[in-house]
Amino acid sequence: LQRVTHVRTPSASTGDEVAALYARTCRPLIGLLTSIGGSRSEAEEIAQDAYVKVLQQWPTIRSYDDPDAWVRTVAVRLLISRHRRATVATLGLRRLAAQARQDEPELTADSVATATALRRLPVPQRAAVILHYVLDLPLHDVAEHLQLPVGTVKSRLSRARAALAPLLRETEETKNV
Amino acid sequence: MSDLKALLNRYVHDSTPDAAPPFSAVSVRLQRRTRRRRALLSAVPLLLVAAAAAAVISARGPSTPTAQAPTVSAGTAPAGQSAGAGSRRGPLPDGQGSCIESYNLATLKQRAFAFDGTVTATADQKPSDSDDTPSGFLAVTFTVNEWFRGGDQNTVTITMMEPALLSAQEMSYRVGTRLLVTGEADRGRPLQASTATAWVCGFTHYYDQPTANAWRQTFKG
Repeated sequence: LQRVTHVRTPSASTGDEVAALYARTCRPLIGLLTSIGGSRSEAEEIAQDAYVKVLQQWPTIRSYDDPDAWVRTVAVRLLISRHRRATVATLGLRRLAAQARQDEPELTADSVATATALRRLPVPQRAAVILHYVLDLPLHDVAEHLQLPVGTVKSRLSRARAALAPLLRETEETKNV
Repeated sequence: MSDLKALLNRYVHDSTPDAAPPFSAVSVRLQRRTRRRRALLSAVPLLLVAAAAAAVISARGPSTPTAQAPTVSAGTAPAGQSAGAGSRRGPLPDGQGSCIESYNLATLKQRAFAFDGTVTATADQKPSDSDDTPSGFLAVTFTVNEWFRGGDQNTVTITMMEPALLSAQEMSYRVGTRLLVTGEADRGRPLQASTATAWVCGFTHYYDQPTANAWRQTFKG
């Protein structure tokens, strides 16, 4: 048991390297997670969980071609997993929904309409939309993030486009008034 | 499509904070995790004793259900089993999710409702201001073959995660699927889609006689 309870703490150089990655990626990552999940505090928590994983596994992660993409993938999966867990229980769901309402970032009118339309979609679908249309990730990368077949991602994006179509019409009508 | 892209870009930009929290928060979180992990590991001997005791009880008891991956039997469906996903056994798949509680007979007994039912209809759940249920859920109506807890009516409608969220590879349930269903509800209020949600993670099973017997005994006891 003594052997098992030994938990490695990161070295100073690991800390510096991860701090550099953190400085480079944290702000956009929180923006991405907030726009998918709808809650800033939840996004910060999940981002921290992802960077904890980076700290713990840095010797492996630093050898990857793109550690920035690794942390984003992990964070998006953590977010989706957390929402799945929360939605299993009605009570947990309500707490999360109430919390999300309190933690919404301040948005412009256009973005409020976008947020409202996006929240009608399930979280994994929102993630697919934002990864594909905002980060310009190709379908197979989105599928990798979401651990889904490419065909499923395609159909989810198609459903999402249909669901978001009224948003575009509304925006167009507002411009015409 | 460029309009959609522009709107989404603006939304993500608006959602991005001006500054990130300090990096020290990550180190603090790691330390907290480490302390919690040590505390958990110090409980390992107790958990091992409890697991051994549970294994002994399980070996003595009749057909205790366990949380395992659903399998498809090679033969025909047992008598009394319905069409649809009738040949499957074990728990419903739970997608990528993990759960706040693990399935066992003790945690099963704490659930607000449980029944043996056959899916007769499914309908989309639309989120609204007065309803916290997000899309991705369906209102699923069952003909109830037997109540174990929480009702006595012939049909009931509850909320379930849509099949696509439970499994991307297969239709996990459909009209005609017979399930053993349990979950949570607003206690004291009538059981309906807005008040009751079926749990996955081992709690909702494809119907089989031994599991139904175990559930019956659990809720009687």
